[in-house]
Amino acid sequence: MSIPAFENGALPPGEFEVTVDELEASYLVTGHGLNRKDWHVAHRAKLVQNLRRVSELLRLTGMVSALYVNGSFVQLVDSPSDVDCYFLLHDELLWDDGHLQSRLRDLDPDGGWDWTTLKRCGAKTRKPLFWCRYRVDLVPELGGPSGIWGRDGSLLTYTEAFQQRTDSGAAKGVLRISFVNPYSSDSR
Amino acid sequence: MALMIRSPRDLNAQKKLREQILELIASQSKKLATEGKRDDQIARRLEPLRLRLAEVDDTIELYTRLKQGDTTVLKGMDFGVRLIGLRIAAGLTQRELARLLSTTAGQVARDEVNEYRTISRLRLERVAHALGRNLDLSPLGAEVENSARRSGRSNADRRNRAAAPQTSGRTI
Repeated sequence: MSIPAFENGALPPGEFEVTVDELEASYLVTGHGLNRKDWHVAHRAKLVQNLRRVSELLRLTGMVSALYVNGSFVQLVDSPSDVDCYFLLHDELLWDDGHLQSRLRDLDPDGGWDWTTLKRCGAKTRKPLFWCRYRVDLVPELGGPSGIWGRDGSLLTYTEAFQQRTDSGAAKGVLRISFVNPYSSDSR
Repeated sequence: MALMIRSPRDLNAQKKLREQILELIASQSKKLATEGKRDDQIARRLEPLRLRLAEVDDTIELYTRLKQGDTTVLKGMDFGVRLIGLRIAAGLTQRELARLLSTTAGQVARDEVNEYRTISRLRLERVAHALGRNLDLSPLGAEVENSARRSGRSNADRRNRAAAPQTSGRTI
């Protein structure tokens, strides 16, 4: 699926299936058709390179069904500081029992795959070490509250929070990168 | 995800948010325990919420230090954040900066909400100039001096200085 054009500076409401290759070739990196002279193509391309690595790691765990890309990277922002993402697991126990975190550390021992050790590395706030390495913000969508409240005062899940504009509460879209379990019989 | 605090009103909102998140962590912890989750499972489940709490704590600390004139905390941050931080450290309100730019407070507020990521380079240069700085748009930017704190200037002094901008070769 091609990535739809921006509407008022963000993706139109919905979840749009893409591959990392499609994302890399899209206007979100090249800026084609946006008429933005300060669109930071090299910086956005670098962020996608990092996202490719993170996406591949998540796929290789065999535990993640989809990665969603939201935030300033999929908005009319010349030079986003990072790529904001959330992901879905095949089973919430893969997170609760630490299997995903452990598998990520096995696959990428220097990646800083830990959501509790935080560091200041050029961001306004402390971030997990994997963010410092990849500039990808990553949280699991486990269906519970995100700690983000909507403009109407309701407590939101990540899916709800990241599909709303923070300034107006209006709906906006996200990109979805789906994974086939590399260890299932279907993928062989 | 974390929005920068830009005014005393934002600060109060973030303090309230901090209390809400603490209450949420406590209530979620109880809820997960009643669902039969083990302590280690509860701790992992709450990691994203604790991360959110850390973000809020850090935004409060950043604003507090900037209000004290400490701009060293801006080192390495994106240029938009540095511009907002320099305004706060200079003791300028959005309205006062707007006056220097011959624009409206609403325009400055909109630019700051977007952390100056959606405005032209020319306008960015005007903002930087109004804050007495040259502009460096490189991803990590230049080191920001903690000149205000070192010289012991008051907010009023810093305001006067920003009102008569002289870039004097310093960059943001």
